[in-house]
Amino acid sequence: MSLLEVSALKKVYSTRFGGSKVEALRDINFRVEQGEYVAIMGESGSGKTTLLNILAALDKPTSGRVILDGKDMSKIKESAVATYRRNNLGFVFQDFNLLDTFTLADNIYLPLVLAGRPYKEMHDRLVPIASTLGIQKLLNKYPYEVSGGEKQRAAVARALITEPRLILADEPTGALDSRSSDELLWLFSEVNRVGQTILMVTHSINAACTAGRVLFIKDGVVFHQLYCGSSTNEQFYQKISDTMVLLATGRNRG
Amino acid sequence: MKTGFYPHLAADGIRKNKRIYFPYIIMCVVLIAMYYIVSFLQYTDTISDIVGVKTIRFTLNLGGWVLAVFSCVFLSYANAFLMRSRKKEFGLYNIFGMDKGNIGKVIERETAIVAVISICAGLVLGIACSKFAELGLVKIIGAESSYKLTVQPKAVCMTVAIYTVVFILQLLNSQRQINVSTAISLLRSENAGERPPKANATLGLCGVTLLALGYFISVTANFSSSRTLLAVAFIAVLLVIMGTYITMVSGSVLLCRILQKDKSYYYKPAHFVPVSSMAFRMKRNGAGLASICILITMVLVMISSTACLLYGTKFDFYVDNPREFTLDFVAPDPDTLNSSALSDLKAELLTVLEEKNASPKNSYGYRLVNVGVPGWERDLYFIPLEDYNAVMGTDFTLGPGQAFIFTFGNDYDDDNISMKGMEWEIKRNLEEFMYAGSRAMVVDKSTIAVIIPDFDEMTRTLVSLPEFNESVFASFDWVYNFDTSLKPEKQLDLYNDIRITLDDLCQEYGFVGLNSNSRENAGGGEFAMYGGIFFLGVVLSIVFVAGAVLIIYYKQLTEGFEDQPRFETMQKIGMTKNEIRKSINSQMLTVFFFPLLLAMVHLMFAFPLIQRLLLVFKLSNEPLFLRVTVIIGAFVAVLYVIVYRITSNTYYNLVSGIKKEEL
Repeated sequence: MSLLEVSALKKVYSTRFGGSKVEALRDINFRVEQGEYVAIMGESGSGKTTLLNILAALDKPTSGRVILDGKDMSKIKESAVATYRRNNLGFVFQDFNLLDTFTLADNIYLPLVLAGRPYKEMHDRLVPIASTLGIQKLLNKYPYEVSGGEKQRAAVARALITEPRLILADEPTGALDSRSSDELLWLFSEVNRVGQTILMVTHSINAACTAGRVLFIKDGVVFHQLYCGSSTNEQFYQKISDTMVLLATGRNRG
Repeated sequence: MKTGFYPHLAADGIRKNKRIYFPYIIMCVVLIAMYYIVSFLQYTDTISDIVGVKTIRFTLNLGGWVLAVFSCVFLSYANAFLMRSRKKEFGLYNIFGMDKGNIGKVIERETAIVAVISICAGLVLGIACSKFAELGLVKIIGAESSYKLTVQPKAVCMTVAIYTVVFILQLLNSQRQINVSTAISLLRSENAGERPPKANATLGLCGVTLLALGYFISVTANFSSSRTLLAVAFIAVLLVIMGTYITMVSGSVLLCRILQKDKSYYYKPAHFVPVSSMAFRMKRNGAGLASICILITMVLVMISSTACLLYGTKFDFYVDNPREFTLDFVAPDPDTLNSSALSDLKAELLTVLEEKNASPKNSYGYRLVNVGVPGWERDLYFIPLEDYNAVMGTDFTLGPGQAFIFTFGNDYDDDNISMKGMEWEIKRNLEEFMYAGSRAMVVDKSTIAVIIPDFDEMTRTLVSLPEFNESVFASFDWVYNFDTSLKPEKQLDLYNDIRITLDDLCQEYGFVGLNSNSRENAGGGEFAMYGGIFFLGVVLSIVFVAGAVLIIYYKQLTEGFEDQPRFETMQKIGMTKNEIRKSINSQMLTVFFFPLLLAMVHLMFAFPLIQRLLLVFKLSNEPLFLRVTVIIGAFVAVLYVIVYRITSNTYYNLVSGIKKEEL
């Protein structure tokens, strides 16, 4: 059984007075297996953000199903959604979304504190994660005192500490310089290597080619997908790049 | 551009910013209404009849100017907030090609709209409430009033003129703010990462020490000299003010840091977010909250002490002048007092008054012997039981050698009371006593009134004492108090008119002299002034409290805007709406009620000192002071709770209104 199963997903936005309707997602179907690292690519307006919002249970689909770990997400009660999100999903955002009133450590603890875990357990969980991400020395600093790359690593730690079933990353390299980007992507691969499932939305081919599989979305459907397979990084980069050109020029599948 | 463009844009601007504009307009309306009321009372005819009207008018006039100045200060604060939160909007206009002159015109129209709405609504509210205020004032100073609603055109003109000026000043202020900023600085919000506050242990402890020291002085200071006491009080006030500021700014951050050190306390869902954001909040708002705390303390102290001043003086005034007129006929000996001469005199007196068209109402008379022995601790006033019963409408009885007593302050616990060989068994202490009339009774705390059944016998024994007029002195009086149906100025005429006539009259009936007094003649000027001051105290307090509350509202609103992204993040990470609500509540409760709580504590500790200061003014009405303080405290608390509810809802809607399209 797949970890995540998305079938016939459709999302229609209507304007406030029910005038014109915008079809953000038409018919999305894909599966993510346990331990996979999947990138989703697409132009602005292709519906990737809508898709991610639905996967994150921040938005409800018009029709279709999202099944995580055998559980239909649309069946979860509104009151339980936040708890469900906290327990099963980890988030990494483009602009880090660290809270500036907390130290990095407290930022990372936040989801566990909300879940009411004792301090000892939180601390024990943090130690290995912090050493993997190389932020042990920064834990008592405030977000404004560290660099963008370090902030993003703290954000990754925050996503990992709940041991989520799935990590959702939204343009995680979008606000980083190239060196920090590379470091972060390497960390994602590392985390994935030890079994963490990751779903990442990105614009960056560089980011996408660290993934095991890339899904391309256009006009609300999955337009194409590529597997890294045995190809080298350069080859995979080339393949993704070609597909992006195809997407942009609008020709049919080649 | 078309003519309707600016007004349209201005009206739109107000509508779209109603969350900020609405409280601002309400504040303006309240201020204007208050000002109208104060100036209405200056001109109203209702109070022109009462004693001390000049003093009251002067006090009210002064109060009006104070109000105008405070209006300016409060509205400037609110206006600065308003402009700050709209800079982005104006920056956008600027980028779209409106120059600062054009933006100035929009602001001009907006100010004009707000001014017209506020002044009209303020006047309507003011006129509607002026009658209540008038009745209140009249009640405070004890005059009479009709229930007809009147409008004072002069007061309306004054209000419009003053507040037009106030609004013009606000306009200039807004335009100055726009002029000094550039398009980009207008657009950019000041959301840069803020340094976490550092706790300063020394400073925090220093603040607490200052507070403790101030409290200690207030509780223990006891000087007989009023000047020393005032100086010490001043030092205590300074210490507490400094202590409040330092504690709020530094002590609260320190407290948060200490709480954060306690891992098992800090890492709980209910404490985690509030404690950490409180540290930031207190650093930014400490000074503001301290000001609010001091403002509330001042309001509480001001109202309770002016109330005591007023009601204390009023009480004394009515003790001295229980009726419009007090006549005190002094007899040479007890026989004159106890013979038929008294009733003849009374009959003649009534005839005289009748002739002057001043037939007495609510009258009462009684006999009184004041015995004083040099070297005694206390004065004794003897009153016959039959006179007491007649005046008070009671039918108490006493056997020979028994007495009731009434004490004016100090308790008298013995079972007996004796004087120069005469002794009475005290049946009980009376709870009520007739107001005496000033000339007849100079009461102080040690005085005891003794009501006895055997008055004639006592007086005869008294005069037959060998020491009588040697070392024992006594005066024998008949005191007569009455009201008339005359207007105050006529009362004064009557008083001057009958004094001589009555003096002759009392000689005729064998009395040695007459002490007379009229309430009008006694003036009551100071007590009218206290009335005016108290009334103003109430008005200003309402304005202060309204101002404090508005400041808190705006503070919360600013923070709501700043906190919005943070709560958005937390919600994405998995904070439920319920948890957000809880976290907000605990923060708001602290921000709101900490100043109020501290103000109450201040007041509690100030209590002994104020009490001692009031004693300097010979006022010692502890229950009254306590009651007034409690009532005012409760009133402020209720007002606070209302605003708290409104504010926390606005804030909650602000931070939980998360756009779902955005992730």
